[in-house]
Amino acid sequence: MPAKEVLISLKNVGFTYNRGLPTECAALFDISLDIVRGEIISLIGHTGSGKSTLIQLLNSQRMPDCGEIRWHMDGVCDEKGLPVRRRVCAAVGLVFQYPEDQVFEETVYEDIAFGPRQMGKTPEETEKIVFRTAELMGLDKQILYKTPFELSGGTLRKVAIAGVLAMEPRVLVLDEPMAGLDPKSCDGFASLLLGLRECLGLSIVMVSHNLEYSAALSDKIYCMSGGRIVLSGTAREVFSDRAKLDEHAIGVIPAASVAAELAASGMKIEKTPLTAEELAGEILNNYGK
Amino acid sequence: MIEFKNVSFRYSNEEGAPYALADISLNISRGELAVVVGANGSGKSTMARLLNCLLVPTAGKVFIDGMDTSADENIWKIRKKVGFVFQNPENQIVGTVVENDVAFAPENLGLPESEIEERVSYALEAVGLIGRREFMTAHLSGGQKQRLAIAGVLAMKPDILVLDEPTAMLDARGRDSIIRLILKIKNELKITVVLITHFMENALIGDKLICLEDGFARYAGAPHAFFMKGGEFISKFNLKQPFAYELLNILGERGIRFAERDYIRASDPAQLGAIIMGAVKNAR
Ligand SMILES: Nc1ncnc2c1ncn2[C@@H]1O[C@H](COP(=O)(O)OP(=O)(O)OP(=O)(O)O)[C@@H](O)[C@H]1O
Ligand SMILES: Nc1ncnc2c1ncn2[C@@H]1O[C@H](COP(=O)(O)OP(=O)(O)O)[C@@H](O)[C@H]1O
Ligand SMILES: [Mg+2]
Ligand SMILES: [Mg+2]
Repeated sequence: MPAKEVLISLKNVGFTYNRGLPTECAALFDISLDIVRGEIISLIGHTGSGKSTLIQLLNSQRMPDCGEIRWHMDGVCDEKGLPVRRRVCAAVGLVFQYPEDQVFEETVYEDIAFGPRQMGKTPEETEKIVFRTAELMGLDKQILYKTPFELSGGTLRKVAIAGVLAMEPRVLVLDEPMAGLDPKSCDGFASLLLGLRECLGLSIVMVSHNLEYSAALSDKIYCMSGGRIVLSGTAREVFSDRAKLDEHAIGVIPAASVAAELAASGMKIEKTPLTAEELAGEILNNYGK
Repeated sequence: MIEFKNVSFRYSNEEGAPYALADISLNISRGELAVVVGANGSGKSTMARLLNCLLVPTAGKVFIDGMDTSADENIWKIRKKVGFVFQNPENQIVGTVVENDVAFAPENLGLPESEIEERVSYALEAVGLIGRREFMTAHLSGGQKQRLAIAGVLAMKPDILVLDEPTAMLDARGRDSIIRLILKIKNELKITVVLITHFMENALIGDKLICLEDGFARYAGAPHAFFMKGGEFISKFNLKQPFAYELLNILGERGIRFAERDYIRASDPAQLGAIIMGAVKNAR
């Protein structure tokens, strides 16, 4: 197996909003984690636990006030080895929690074209990229010429994601990307993420409250509470630790929670199921024996 | 009582402009909880905007407690009756401090100080933000803002509460707490609730489910019966089975069969374990 290629590393990072002001608010403490090429990781946790804040550090939108964050990707640092913010932002594509914060051009086309143009692509290249990313996100050609304000909530979210994909980032950071998407679009988006990882070796960091998707897609899940990472591991490891999840008011996935209930009623559950299919398998193992 | 009578709507009057809603006729009774589902762009938010006169039908009529939404003299009466929680709470927050934000609308009604205080406490308690009443709203995270938006509307004591994806930005526990809150609002306060959601689990809590497709109402009836029509039918609308139904269906295919009443009971996730234990005991 090839060695893991770390693209971004965080060591003992802390962050405080409004430092020195009466409204000071410490949001992150002692965060250490690596973003590895080709890995999908999820951040989960209660509202206010610091997920969005952590995500904003990854593309240098905010800088930590203690600890260290390093970008190891080619071409994002200057001769002195210091990160150049513009380059970091291009390499680490961030999709905001609210698409309205991101989509601001007159037409959907212009909006998706904005990033590629900034990066110096020719009009022909830009057009190709716009059409390709729109297709990836399942946006009809006719939508490209509408103004973003005429779109439904879910469609606007797809446009915001397309705008970031068009910049061809190496790390894709998504803050609640499925919020507002209909169930089939969520499935489509999940396959798209797997495809991007497969074809482009993209690393993906996702904050999602849609825990079933976090479980299905992630190589590793980090659980946050009160600005700290309180639990991490594979989906199965994390969702097996019911006590920790309860302690930090982190949601559970239905398959795991029903399994726990069945186990409490005397059913034998071999390993924590993550899907309805796996749970059905566990139930059928008990049945008839 | 909400009545849609042959309602069509389009955002532009130009020749050939598409209809966002097409010939919709349906009723939502007083005290009912109606859940609206459908693909992105199917017309759910448009339907909601017709309820508080933000939009008026291009053809047909919407009546709120018998009042025609297209008659100018009804607009303010209807807006007082119908509380609205939009998709994005950011646009609804007006105060810099949590309690002031919730007090804003009741203050505008000119209510006495004690009544305002009572409503603010009630609303913040209901949404679980009572401990943050002196917090700056700008410092709330996304999910906390969403709850604040709901509190702001509850403080107006509306007859009808329309929620357009109120849980879209909440973590799983926050979502459950809001769903419990919605049920409480319906059961204890007898408020008519219209809930738009993409969470199929939550679509089951309604007394009535309405499914839109390209502006047409394709279903209006019992939620469990809709999802029992099977995966193929539902996927036409970009929807999926709720987890409980998916599980019961898989078990059914493998020989543990469930009756319709099991599906109805399974609409409450707390019942699912008991239903399965019962079926496994019977099968032994
Ligand atoms: N302000 C507007 N101007 C023009 N067209 C609009 C406007 N708002 C919505 N539309 C169009 O009306 C149709 C229905 O949109 P609506 O917002 O009601 O969908 P929705 O069911 O709420 O979707 P979502 O699940 O994505 O929120 C879409 O084709 C949309 O593009
Ligand atoms: N712009 C801001 N200014 C001050 N405090 C903030 C700001 N954004 C978030 N916070 C605070 O930081 C903490 C973490 O919030 P956030 O990262 O948004 O959490 P999450 O995304 O997990 O819901 C919360 O206590 C929140 O109130
Ligand atoms: Mg957040
Ligand atoms: Mg909508």
